[in-house]
Amino acid sequence: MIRWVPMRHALSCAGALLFLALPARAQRPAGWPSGTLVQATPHNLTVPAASTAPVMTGRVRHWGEVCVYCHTPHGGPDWSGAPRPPLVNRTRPNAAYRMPQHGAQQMLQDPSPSNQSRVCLSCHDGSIALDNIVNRPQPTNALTPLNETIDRCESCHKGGNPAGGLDWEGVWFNPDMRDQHPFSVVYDPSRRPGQFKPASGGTVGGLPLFSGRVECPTCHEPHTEQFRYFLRQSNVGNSLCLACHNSVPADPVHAQ
Amino acid sequence: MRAHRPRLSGTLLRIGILAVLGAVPAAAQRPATHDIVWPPAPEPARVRYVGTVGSEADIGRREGFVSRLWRTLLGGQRTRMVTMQRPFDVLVRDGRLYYTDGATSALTVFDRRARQARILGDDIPGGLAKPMGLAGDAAGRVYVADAQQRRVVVLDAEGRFERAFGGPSMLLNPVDVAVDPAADRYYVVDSYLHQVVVFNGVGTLIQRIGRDLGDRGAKLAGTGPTTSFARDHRSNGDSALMAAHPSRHEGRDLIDNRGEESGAFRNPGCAAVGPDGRLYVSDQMNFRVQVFDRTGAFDRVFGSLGDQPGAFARPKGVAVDRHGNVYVVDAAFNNVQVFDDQGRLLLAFGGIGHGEGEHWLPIGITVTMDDEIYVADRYNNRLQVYRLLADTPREPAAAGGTSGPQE
Repeated sequence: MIRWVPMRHALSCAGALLFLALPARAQRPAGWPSGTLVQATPHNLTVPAASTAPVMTGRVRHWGEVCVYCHTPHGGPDWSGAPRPPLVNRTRPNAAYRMPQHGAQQMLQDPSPSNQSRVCLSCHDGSIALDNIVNRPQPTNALTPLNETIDRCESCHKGGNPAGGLDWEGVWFNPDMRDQHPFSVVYDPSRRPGQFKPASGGTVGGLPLFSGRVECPTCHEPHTEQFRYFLRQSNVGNSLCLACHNSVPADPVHAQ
Repeated sequence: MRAHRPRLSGTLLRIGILAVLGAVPAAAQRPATHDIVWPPAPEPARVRYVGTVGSEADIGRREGFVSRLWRTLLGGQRTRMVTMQRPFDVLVRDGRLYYTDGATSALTVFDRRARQARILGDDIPGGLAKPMGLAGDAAGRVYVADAQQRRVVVLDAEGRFERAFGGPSMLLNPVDVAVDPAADRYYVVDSYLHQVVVFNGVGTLIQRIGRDLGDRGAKLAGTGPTTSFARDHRSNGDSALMAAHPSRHEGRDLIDNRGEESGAFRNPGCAAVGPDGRLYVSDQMNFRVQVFDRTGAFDRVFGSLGDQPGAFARPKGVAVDRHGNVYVVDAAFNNVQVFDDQGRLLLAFGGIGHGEGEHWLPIGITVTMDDEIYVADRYNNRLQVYRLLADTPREPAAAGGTSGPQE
């Protein structure tokens, strides 16, 4: 069951997420393409053009294509010079494996990421690219009002605080995504009246929803870094956050 | 309906029965509810889905008598079961099931005999910051790659800290480890250096497989030893500690070091050592598995980009069983492809979903000496357990043949 995150936390989380994204940009070698196309972004996973290394002729093609790292072509193994595989499945010889189907996912009421986000997470798992799985929120002094240490957070938000602070475990969308903005979540402003802007035509504030859900590409456009962190829009003045969220609430508890 | 409260007499009766019959065997996992095998009939079944481990309850943990009595008389918290959250890698040794947890950044062991979980690493100087890949040796040691502290930590069979090797001057983003104690070679897969870094048993760096770092190696140096951290970073939000802690962002992908020629890597992910000492590495963004001999020399490669059987889209975990079969997890296909030691495809099992024998972004894999296969089913927050049914090595069918793998 999906739990909604109070807005102030969501915004703090968005800030934390941006903070995480900032230093993750890969170093770019000299001669790297410039501009706003995907070739100029860290999502260009090709070997730098300066490479003069030989390619395994006849065995491995030169993956000069930028797209293939996310958009898997059907091409099967290049078995030239190698033993061919058996026909593994008689009824569907050479059948392709089921790949992520953009926009065709089932209703997901559990915390598993839907397909659009799953594509992102298949590389953003800590082994290819920065993953989004980290410990509890870190102090993020410059970027959010949450100029706090985790211990202090937990003095109110853990263990059933009698003063009424929401419990840490219950506040966050999912225990292991609690320092992030939620995704794969059905965008339903009626669940938090007045806090979210209405969606229309599958978008909200110009940001796309995917089967009515907020997914990674709702806020991020992985093909261009026209805006930092692959954002779809500029977030100056939190404008991207405010495409969905109505406002940042006055918050005497957390303001520093 | 009223909550069930055990009656003392019933408990005493059960204790008496247990005393007579002996201990109830510990549950290995939550068993399959129906038979799931690969390949489908009429082919002879080769791999069977056995069960799931996602929480302590799955290995048979029950709330103890004392805990229930305490709760009944005094109130208070019910026993909280440890549940997996984003398991990254798994290792099974001698009734103990180790996994690295992506959400809590902990190395946890499920002890199937004691039927309970224990978080390891309290005695590790500096603790574990971001434990990822696991390996084990015949002496029961556990090797865990800590991507954030850029080192490998070694625990003994009882989970006590033994030693650590690597460090920020040698590693950038170590995500997996594979060991070959017989050859005194300990392999660390570094996805941002695009290398497999080889250490010996005393922690001396003896080889780097992959493109030479050249002057980029200087970028690694200078962050000092890794042993100055507080014992438990998780319970301490002190900002000085944070400053002392190497940032998780310090490691940056050295993309100049990517390569696609034989023996070079592009974001290598996982590794395993076969029974003959050969090293198998999933070369993720080259969509292939590379094989090296015990000298670190390139041996062969298999797989290429595509969504056909035998191809890879997101190759992740690699394991080799005692027969030499190679298992490769693919996080895009959500399955496991099994190859023979020549790289010929034998079978694929698993698939996308949340049910039994299904995966959602799987990553780590291990195969035990008795042919049990464990897959870290990361975004389903559990391990999926399979069994290899035939225990003899098999030859793949000839090209164009109509039958599956032969006995």
